[in-house]
Amino acid sequence: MNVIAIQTYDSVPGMIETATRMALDAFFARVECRALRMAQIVTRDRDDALDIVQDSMIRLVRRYSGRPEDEWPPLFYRILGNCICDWQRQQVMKNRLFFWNSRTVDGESEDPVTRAPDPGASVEQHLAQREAMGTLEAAVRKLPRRQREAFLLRIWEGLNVEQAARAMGCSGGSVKTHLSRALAVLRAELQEAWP
Amino acid sequence: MNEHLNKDDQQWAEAAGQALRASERQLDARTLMRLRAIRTQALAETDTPMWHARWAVPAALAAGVLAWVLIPFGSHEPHGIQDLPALVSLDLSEAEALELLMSERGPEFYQNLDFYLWLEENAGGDNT
Repeated sequence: MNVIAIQTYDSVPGMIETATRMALDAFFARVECRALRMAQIVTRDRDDALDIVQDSMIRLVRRYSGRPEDEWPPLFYRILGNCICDWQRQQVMKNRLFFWNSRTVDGESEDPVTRAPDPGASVEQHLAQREAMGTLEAAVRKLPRRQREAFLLRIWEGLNVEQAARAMGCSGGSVKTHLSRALAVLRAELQEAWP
Repeated sequence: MNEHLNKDDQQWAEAAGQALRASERQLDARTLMRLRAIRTQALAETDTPMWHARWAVPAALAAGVLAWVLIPFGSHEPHGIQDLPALVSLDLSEAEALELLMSERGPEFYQNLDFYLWLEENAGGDNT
């Protein structure tokens, strides 16, 4: 009796199992807003931040989707950090080549709709929140790369020291040192806005 | 979380973290839709084989076409060898004319060839 081999979707070499795909979908849904905001703090441009998030997701899918799920967060944030760094390098090059066309005004390219106030909050509250967030983002943006990464990964994303170290590609001791310095700089700079 | 930080730093960091996390919820609907589209597009990468597998079929096809084009040319013998039978089939007069043209000796030598042959025969006779 001849046995007919049926090649299912999951058994195709190089393709990803349906369960992994669903897990990736859930993981991306959990981190996408945070990743966008992290990228946007640096780029100050929503479209550029969206491009960075997209690149990061695609790279994770292509290279690391076969890794265990608990490794995805540090890997994803490492990719995101590299993509942001690449973007900064491109901006430096672009500004050198086309210095007359560089964007220096904060939020210049933002869609006005996205800047409309939240109707649920009062105008005063919204302005106060926006101002406080603006000062915090500006201070975070000015941090050196490693300090910024340590702050965002540990304080915002809530990665533990080991995960943050894997995401940053350094030791746990370095993560602690970078975070400590970042907090010292931020608190000194934001004394009035963030007492 | 911040076991190496003092209490003030911990409180400050927690407040900052809460504010940053709250900012995620203020993303507008259009941006959220674009994020969902980005996620879908990234996951679509899982529907296709990895890049090396994706390029395998076109690469194999290109190699096949290239081989189909190049092998007939490669199977031909060099032109000199291919033309050899034609040279062999030349009649003697043509071969002689060819040798005459290719020779370093002048045409006068071949015009007096009978004389030189007679001279060689007589010289050989004298030696014996």
